[in-house]
Amino acid sequence: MIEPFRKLLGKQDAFDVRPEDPAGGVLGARPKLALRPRSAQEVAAVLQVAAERGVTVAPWGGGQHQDRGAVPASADIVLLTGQLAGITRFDAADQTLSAKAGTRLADIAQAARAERLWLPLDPPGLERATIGGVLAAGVSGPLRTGFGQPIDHVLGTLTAHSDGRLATSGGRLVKNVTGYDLHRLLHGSCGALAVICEVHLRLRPLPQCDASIAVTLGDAETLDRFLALVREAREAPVAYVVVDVESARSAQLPLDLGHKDGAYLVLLRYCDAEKAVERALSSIRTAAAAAQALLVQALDADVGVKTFERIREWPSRCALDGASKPVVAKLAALPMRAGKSTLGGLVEAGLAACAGTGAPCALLVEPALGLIRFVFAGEPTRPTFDALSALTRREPERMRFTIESGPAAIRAMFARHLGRTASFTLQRRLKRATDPAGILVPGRVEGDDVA
Amino acid sequence: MLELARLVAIVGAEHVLTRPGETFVYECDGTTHFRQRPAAVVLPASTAEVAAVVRELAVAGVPFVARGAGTGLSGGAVPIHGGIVIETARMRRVIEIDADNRFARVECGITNAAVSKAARPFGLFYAPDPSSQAACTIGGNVAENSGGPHCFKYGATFRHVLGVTAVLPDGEIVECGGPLADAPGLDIGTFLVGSEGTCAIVTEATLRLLPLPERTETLLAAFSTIEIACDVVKRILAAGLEPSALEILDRATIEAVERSVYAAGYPKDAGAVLLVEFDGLSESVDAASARAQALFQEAAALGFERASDDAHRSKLWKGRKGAFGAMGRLAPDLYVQDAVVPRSRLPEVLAKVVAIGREHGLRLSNVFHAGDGNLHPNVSYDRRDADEMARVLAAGAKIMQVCVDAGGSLSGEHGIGIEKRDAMHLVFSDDDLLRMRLLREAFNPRELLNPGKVLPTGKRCVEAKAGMLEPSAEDGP
Repeated sequence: MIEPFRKLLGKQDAFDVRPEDPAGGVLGARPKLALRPRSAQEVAAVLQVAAERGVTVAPWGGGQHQDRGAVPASADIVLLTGQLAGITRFDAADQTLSAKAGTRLADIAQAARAERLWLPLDPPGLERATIGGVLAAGVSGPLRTGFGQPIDHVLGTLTAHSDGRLATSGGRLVKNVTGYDLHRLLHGSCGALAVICEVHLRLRPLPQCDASIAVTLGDAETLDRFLALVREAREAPVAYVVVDVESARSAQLPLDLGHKDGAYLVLLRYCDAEKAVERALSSIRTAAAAAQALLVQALDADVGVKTFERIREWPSRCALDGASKPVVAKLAALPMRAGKSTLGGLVEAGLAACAGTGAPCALLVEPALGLIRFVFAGEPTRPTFDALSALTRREPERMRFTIESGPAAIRAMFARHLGRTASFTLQRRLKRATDPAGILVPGRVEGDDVA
Repeated sequence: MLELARLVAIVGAEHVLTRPGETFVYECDGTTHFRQRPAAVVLPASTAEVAAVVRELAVAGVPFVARGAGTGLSGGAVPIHGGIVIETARMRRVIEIDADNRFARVECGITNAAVSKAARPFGLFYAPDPSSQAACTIGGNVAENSGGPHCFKYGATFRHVLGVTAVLPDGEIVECGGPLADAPGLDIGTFLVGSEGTCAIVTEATLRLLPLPERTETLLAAFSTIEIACDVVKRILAAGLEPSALEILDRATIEAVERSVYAAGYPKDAGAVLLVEFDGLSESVDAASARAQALFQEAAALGFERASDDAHRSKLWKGRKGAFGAMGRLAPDLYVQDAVVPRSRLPEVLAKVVAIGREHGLRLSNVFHAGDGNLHPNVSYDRRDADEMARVLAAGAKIMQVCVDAGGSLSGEHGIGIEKRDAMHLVFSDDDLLRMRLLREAFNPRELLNPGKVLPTGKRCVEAKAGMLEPSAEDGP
């Protein structure tokens, strides 16, 4: 299998995957060959050869979010985008930047900062994550509250397809409605439609003032009261998470976490004009007092950023032995009122369900989005997932349970919790339109494996 | 062969229009130079009725087009292959407003402005605000990914659609996304936004609502030339300010506005006026407004006005919002071009656009969304004058080419429709267009839904498809 690819890329960029390489356990499939193309044209050529030989391909950026989506039915080749890296165009005056898919987010951030601009994307694994990988995985961090998901920053893409062709979607313009936007389908497609080769991004000005505040609360009731007050406030945080205090301690947040009755820690970040940020912090202090918070701590920009970084990266440190990532189960609910339940009530019920089935977990909530994540340090069993899933059954239109990420064995075992959407037929047709040979991580997009 | 009686059985006889006097208004949209009368117009009252109608049309192999208010500006709702128009005027319900969770679920025929009106008592609003918002429908906005002056800050329609209910061209009803975050599977709902009604008929939409800003401040500054106004836009953005709107009107537009019922008191001696709006927290608006005013002074503005109250703000916006109407009064027809360029290239592109208007002997004016480089050169003309009509179209084509040459694209907010379909080769390769065609065919394999739009159907495209798919029919009629 290796020879035709060596002919295309050379020996150094087409090699056997060794057992100890990361591209094995996480995907669940066992790639035999790794390829490192250097250009979009090489990616397209690789895909064409793979299609001719009927071998399957898994794109791989920084390897930070391969533990998402369904387990691929097969992945013979892992296509590494590490050499497909670099900023190809940066128009600071237009606040746009184009980068090859393998460019690390950290490198984009550095280039943007030099022009006092910002790509407000902070997914877990930011130091190693690539822009193509983050778009394909559709993964965000705490800044999603204020600035949206990766696709909200993407103006266009260049992709390679399994018929050996390249395709442009969108462009480098901040406003553009010319043609069909394939790039929107790529978001969260886990590499199953096309290999992303280049991404065009919209940047934002760096905030004039950036500050955070941490509020410790004692129970779910006071948490609900506080969340409601934050929701009613005029000042909107750009990052907003809730964690359990024990997890905050193990994440070694640079805060005072010593309050003996503390159960939940709420972290809020504000970016705006200086006086507006001052007002936001003051408003949070007032809300915290009204909700009978146990402790309120204002954090300057650096400490705030560091705190959110630690929270963002902390779940990956809870990984199971032998895996690079932990199991994360997710409840999506309406932020303020999921039918009869409140977010705090769901949090409490979820934690109780996990503890009751012998699977203690950490908590990571994005209240503005209604997302409650349960991060498992040990291996959760079916009863735990069934108990969490049962919480949503009372009002399925207002709550949804999924397994966000985890080792392949867990994802395969609980495939039904990965979620299904209405039209499998349509998803399969879209897969065929973008991956006519059906070689890109088959089975990874929900519905793709349905006959 | 379609029997209209089958459609009558679904929607009722009074909701199937066939008389020429009834179908006449459906032969064109806001772009009056593309016309084709449909065989009939059907007005369903629900998603189920839309699906039932579509199933009948699919079985009969009759082409069909969904239509909202017909305010589109690229011929997108014109039934160029004849067939049936599915008009959504009876689907205007607000199904649900969840103020706590800040979303609205609405039917596709509701107007854009009605959504914000329904949300206002809860202190919320719907952000996309196309100029036609009083008339245009949410279904049309979703189809076109509509923008408006404030999409510079808030983003176009796709940023505000949480989910849709859609009817596929075979009559299947699909639910995509919704108010819960992170729906599993491919994000089909977001893809449908901006697909110009060629992939599915969106019958219901779940829309994100935002809190009404605490404070809004509008500034109007007059400059001696349009180049200076563009330079001030550049400086505002370089200063890290994030206005909610940045609009420029050139001298020709100012003159037309000030001679019309939309007169807003814009200085007639100005080469251009710049409207800047900030919204958000009072402290934030104060800081941004002060900085913008300093930039006006540094750029030797001829003068500027600051409006903090609704009445004054409405007055300043009156001229901008009435600009198309004012231009439309100068001649029987108005050609509104829509193209987009990197905003740093605005001054040079505008100079070329003005020169093209002059070369073609046309009355051309410019009013545009300067923040996102979205140009709207307007030409007042008479379509009964064949020579003038030809010059308008020739100038339009040249303007598009100039914008593309400057790194721009064909449309910022009006869409491709029929108008720019054959210009798609200016920005996309054959392979790009092939992929788009394959995507459309995944939804609309027989191209019965809104045929002949968005993608060129010429020889080159068929060649590119060779070996993969059957070539589609050439355009009619």
